[in-house]
Amino acid sequence: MHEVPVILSSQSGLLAGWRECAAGLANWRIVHLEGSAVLRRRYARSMFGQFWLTLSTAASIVILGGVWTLLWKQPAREIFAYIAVSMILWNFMSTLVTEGAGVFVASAHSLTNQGLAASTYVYALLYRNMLILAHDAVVIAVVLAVHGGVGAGALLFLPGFALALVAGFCVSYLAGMLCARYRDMILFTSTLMQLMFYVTPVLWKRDFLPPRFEWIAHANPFAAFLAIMRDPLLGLAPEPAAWAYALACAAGLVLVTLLVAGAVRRRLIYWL
Amino acid sequence: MASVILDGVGVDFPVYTPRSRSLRQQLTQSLGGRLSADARVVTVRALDDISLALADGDRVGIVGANGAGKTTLLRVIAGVYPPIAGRVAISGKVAAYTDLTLGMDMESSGWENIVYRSIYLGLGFRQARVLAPSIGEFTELGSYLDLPVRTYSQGMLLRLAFAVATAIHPDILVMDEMIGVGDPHFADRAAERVKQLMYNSRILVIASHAQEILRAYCNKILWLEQGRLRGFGPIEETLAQYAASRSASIS
Repeated sequence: MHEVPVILSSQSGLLAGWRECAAGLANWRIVHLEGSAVLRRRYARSMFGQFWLTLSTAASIVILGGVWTLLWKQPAREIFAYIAVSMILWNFMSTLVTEGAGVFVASAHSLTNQGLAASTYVYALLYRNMLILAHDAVVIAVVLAVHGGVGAGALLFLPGFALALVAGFCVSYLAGMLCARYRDMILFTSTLMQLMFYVTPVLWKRDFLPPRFEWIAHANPFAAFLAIMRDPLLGLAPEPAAWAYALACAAGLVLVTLLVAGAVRRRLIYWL
Repeated sequence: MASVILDGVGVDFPVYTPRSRSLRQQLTQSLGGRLSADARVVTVRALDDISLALADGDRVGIVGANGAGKTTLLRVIAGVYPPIAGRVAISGKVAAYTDLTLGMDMESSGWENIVYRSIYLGLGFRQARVLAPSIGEFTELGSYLDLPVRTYSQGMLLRLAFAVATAIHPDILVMDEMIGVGDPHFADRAAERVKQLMYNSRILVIASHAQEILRAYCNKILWLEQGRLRGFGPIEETLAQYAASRSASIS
């Protein structure tokens, strides 16, 4: 049972977009059930359950860190910390984009049988990936403890993460809408994210680039979001340029998302 | 006070396919919505200029051939399809029973699924847990309720879904075909419970091909033909018109 759904309202514009995004959050109970359902199903009959998430992340960090230590000939501790934090945060961001592309298509059955705000399913996606990140955080905690612990500066991770969540919601929503209408975009998005992985300093550092190519890392918004979350955890000083760029991206995304949500939320169901 | 007001409502389904162009031939057909070829994208007009007003006490049965727009109309009332044309105003809590197992998790137990389904129907976690024992008892599934629902037979799963659906009383109840459950012993208790559900909701809208069900639960009939409203009025009168038109088209 629900009150008159917002999608029936014929308004458009920023306010309608805002109401669409707020209505999804008001369905937090369904967000919780939908978000945890996939994990519940995936690990239902396994002995270690969802800790396979932690185990497989730990294994890949150990292997990657080991190989990189040999290749870079740098202190293992530093490399492990850098790789663990970068890889886990990158996976979080990139999954939001690639799964965001298919979020509405995957929820088509639910959307056609219950008039919930579409944003509900985006929040569920966000929530699920936060749960996965919480499991991976164990690996980060262990690696950082070995690295020498974290100081008070690590608290700066929180605003960085919050900003990434806002941007992640927007990107998932926008990608989901685009891909619901133009199905080729789902395939395009996963290819794009693979390419982005290569040009984002995840397994390499920005100063590895020749100076005249450093702009690649500066222009890449994923690099900015990665930096504002990663640097505080590694005890590095915050980088004002990265913060400014991430803030600008998030603000732009919020604006576009509200406009798009206001304009096309009523069309979505006909695209599924 | 619950109400459903539709004013000139139209719903078009665009057919997005790489082959849209070849579909764009004028087709003559007597079933389904009308295909339109004038737009850049082929569209199916599922509902056309539907106006109606329902108030407390209205129990409406929707009749019409396959593809007449019955389910689409239900989904407009449920808030799933925002109309392309016209206006919809609904006041009251709506429950759409077009998929009774929506939100169920095959790996979770019967008890857990009672809670999940209740949440999807709009209850809070606490309310759902309070209601769960009586719902569980009604299913007569006993200790099966502790097992994952993937171990249930089709009939058992339906019982569970039925028990939750009928435990919650919305203002506006929207149903696609009658919900019912197989085995004879359970069927009697189920019928009683359905009656309660229907009389407790202020407005009932049900699409069905079964006249005995329409006569048992409805006081009005809404007759759709190719997405248009052919008739809307007292049950016997409208059913008679509908029957007359069908026999005319057969002969």
